[in-house]
Amino acid sequence: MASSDDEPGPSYGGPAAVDPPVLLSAAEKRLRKWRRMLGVTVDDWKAYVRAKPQVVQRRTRKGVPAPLRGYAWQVMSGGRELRACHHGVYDELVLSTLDERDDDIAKDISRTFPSHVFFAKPDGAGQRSLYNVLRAYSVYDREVGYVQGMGFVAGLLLLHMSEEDAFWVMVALFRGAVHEPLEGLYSPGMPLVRRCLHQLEGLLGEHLPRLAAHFQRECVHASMFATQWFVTLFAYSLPLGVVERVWDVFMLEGVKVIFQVGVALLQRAEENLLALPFEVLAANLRHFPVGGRADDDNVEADDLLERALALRLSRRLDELRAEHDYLNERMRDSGAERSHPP
Amino acid sequence: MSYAYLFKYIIIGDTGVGKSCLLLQFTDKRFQHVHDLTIGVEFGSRMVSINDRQIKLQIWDTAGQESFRSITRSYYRGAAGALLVYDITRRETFEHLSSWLEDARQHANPNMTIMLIGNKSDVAHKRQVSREEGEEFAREHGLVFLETSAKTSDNVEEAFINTASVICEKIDDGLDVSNESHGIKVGYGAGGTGANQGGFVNPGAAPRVGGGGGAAGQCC
Repeated sequence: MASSDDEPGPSYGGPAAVDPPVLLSAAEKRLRKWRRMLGVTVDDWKAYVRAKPQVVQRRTRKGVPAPLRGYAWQVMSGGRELRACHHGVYDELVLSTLDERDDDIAKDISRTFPSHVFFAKPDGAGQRSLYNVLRAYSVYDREVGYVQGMGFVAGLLLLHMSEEDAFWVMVALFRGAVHEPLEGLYSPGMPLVRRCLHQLEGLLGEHLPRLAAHFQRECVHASMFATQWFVTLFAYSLPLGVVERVWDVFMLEGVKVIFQVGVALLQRAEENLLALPFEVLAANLRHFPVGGRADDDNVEADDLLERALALRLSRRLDELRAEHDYLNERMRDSGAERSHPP
Repeated sequence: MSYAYLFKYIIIGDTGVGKSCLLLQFTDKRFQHVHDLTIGVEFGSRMVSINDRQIKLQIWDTAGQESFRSITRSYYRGAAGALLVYDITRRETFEHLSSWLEDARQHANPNMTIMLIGNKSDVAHKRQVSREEGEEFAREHGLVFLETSAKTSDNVEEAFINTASVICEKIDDGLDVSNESHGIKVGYGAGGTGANQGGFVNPGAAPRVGGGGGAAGQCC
């Protein structure tokens, strides 16, 4: 399987089809492979994924080359296709009449990636794009509207693509064009966040029993540190260079990688965390990567993803999901009035 | 560091009223004009001295947006004090106070001390809620009231410390500190026990105070 990696595959056209007789750097070779893989149209990409799913997965896990990342995320998530069949919709949404949610959005713009050069300038290009995308989404899905945390998702997308492209990737992710819809992270009551927290708690008990016991002693619940992991898909919590690599995998494989990375982060930091009392623990859990090699994001991402992707969680995640849904239903049946058992 | 008691506080109120800024001003004595949005909950802590007793405040700073309430509601449990914050320059944040109070009443223990805070007193020219209205609301609902500025630090110390004083008075009046849900833990510096070097005493095993008149007895 490994040797088929470099074969050009069926002809996809593009500039990479002709090999120039010069020595290429590793980065250039990688870029060429990716160009060939992504092809020219979404259909080229889909054909490649069908023909060589493992090659696509392996290369994606090593990281999408930065110049192609924006486009790759669009085709992987399904946003590209949504945009193609909804011509002009984004412009209409941006121009549509204002409503009360705008005030919430405007207040949060300067509080989203405030130290990033693209978003730092008051009313600069970055802040205006962010405002437009969030507003468009809140008009597009009025029931969900704007929820804090979305801005970090939109912001990370905007660092790699246009406003309109970012908007359609959000729609693809939240409505579930390719993977399970993530809308429940933001819809009233945040049902998906609560389910994810239940699943994470379950995983902690099994993969990190000592840490789970320590959390219990110190009264630390997963919601205290992992709410932001799920609501922003790590965009709020990890250095940009690291979260981009996590998102490469997330776009291709879906939300499972968020759990894998979460467990891996805690595993790596476990020894440190075990010694800490509540206040320090709470602060440390918000400043990952603890125990990571923080100076080089790519090295850090390699290390983190290697650990994360080695974790086999799918079956357990399904079980915990079923368990959560069952408990939820029972609670609803037994009357919503009884909130917490003592 | 040793302390006589640990009080858990929770800061609540609409988004953008300055909850995180109040916390930062209190714990770090600085104001940050541009900072990250709070998603979920953030934590801070500081020692204060009330009548020569060291009290550790453990402060939970919650996300203000409505959507997050389903998550943050569980954080009321075991809180001894709450700062309920509105922005004096945005009327709607004052009008939402009742719904915050209702949440608190429903999910917190009934002994929780609530301090009402009208923040951003430095922006007086944009004021939309008068001081009298704030006082009136506080009186009506049995809250303590202050106007603060997280920017200039005006009244910020007082907001956190006065709340602690009220809690101390309740302890002296016999509030059961061994009941975990009251949001108070007895520290190892409290009296003669000294055995718990970790800084926490299991509240169930804590020396009885108030009632029994043990060494850790009088708080303030």
